[in-house]
Amino acid sequence: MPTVVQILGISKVSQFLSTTAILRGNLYGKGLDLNLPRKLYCIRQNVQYRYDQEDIAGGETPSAALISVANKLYSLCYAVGQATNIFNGGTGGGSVTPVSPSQPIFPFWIFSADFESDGVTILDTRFEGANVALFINEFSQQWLGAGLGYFVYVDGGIEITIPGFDANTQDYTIMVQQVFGNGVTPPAENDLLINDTDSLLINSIDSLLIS
Amino acid sequence: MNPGWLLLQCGTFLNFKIITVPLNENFSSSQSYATPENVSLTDTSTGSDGTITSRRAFFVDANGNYVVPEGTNTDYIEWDYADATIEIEDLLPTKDMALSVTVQWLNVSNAIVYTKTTALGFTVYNENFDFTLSQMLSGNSPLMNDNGFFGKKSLLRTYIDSGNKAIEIASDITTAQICYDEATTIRNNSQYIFNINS
Repeated sequence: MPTVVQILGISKVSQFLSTTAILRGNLYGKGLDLNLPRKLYCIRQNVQYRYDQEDIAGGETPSAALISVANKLYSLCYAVGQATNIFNGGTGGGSVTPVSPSQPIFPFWIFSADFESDGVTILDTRFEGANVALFINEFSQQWLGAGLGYFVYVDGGIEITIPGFDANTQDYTIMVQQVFGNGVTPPAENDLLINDTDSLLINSIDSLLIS
Repeated sequence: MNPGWLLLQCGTFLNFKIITVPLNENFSSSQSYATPENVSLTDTSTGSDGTITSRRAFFVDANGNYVVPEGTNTDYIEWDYADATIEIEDLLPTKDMALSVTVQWLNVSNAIVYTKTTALGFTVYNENFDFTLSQMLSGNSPLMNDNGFFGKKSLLRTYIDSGNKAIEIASDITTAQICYDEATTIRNNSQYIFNINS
């Protein structure tokens, strides 16, 4: 005969087994007592209550009343063999070791309020050891890499180098995404090659009309 | 050197402070199935505070009334600070109750230094009765099929559980007391509800 604590465990499993058996039995629950899961629960609560009160877990000997009610609970258990096996961990399926994956850092958002008082520097541990690209929603609608005149890495974060950028006076919504490898090396100048060697330099003031 | 000036400098640099580790106040409660009318409180505070010299325990029911054992002239129970646990006898002489329990930690001037309030359900009367019903079942199995026996027993369980949930989830002693009173009604009218002679 199982002990009181074993009966508590077995009856929990049995309550589940009886519930699923009734549900799978469709109409009338395959003839099973539709109240059986509830009966198991109600009497298990009584056994659990007296188990705690009599401090059985602390080494006390269960009273005759507790043993009597526990045995009554055991007698009501559905599929008691299967429930016992499952309770003992012998059969009834494998086990799954839960894994707590580390939270992905990227992408994340930064806002004007996140900037330092200079309005251009963001200090954030998430930047450490990562190459990033920025998508400044209010600027260019494009992913911006480091060293392209948009931002540079500083100790503990980044500094926006876009002329006129000031988070103190403008509301920015910036998405930060990690990039792998060295990224695209920016051209030193905006050169338009005429042939293999010669280039036509266009600055920001002049324009070239091609028709 | 001017001795007065030296004394002034010493007073400036030797700035002593008495630092006390604050008390992280807490307590737990328990009841025994053998004495459902008694309630025990245990001080489970961590840390220490040398200024504490006494404790008081207040029990307030769902109607806002103080609950104390008969013959007590105060709204509270004095709890000797030397005793980690106190058993309050005859606090609940007749029925289960949901109570708001407040423990105050006082200094020598009886000023409140720490206070902790918790909603608690004391359900041993009805739990004992529910267990008795299961005992009757174990001695007389056909009783389970007796008209209304299990239905009412299940209802009793529902009221106890519901009261406990009202406290656990919402610290709602009003709703909990309603549930406990419904369970108590079943217990007090058991001779009309359960076929105990079966």
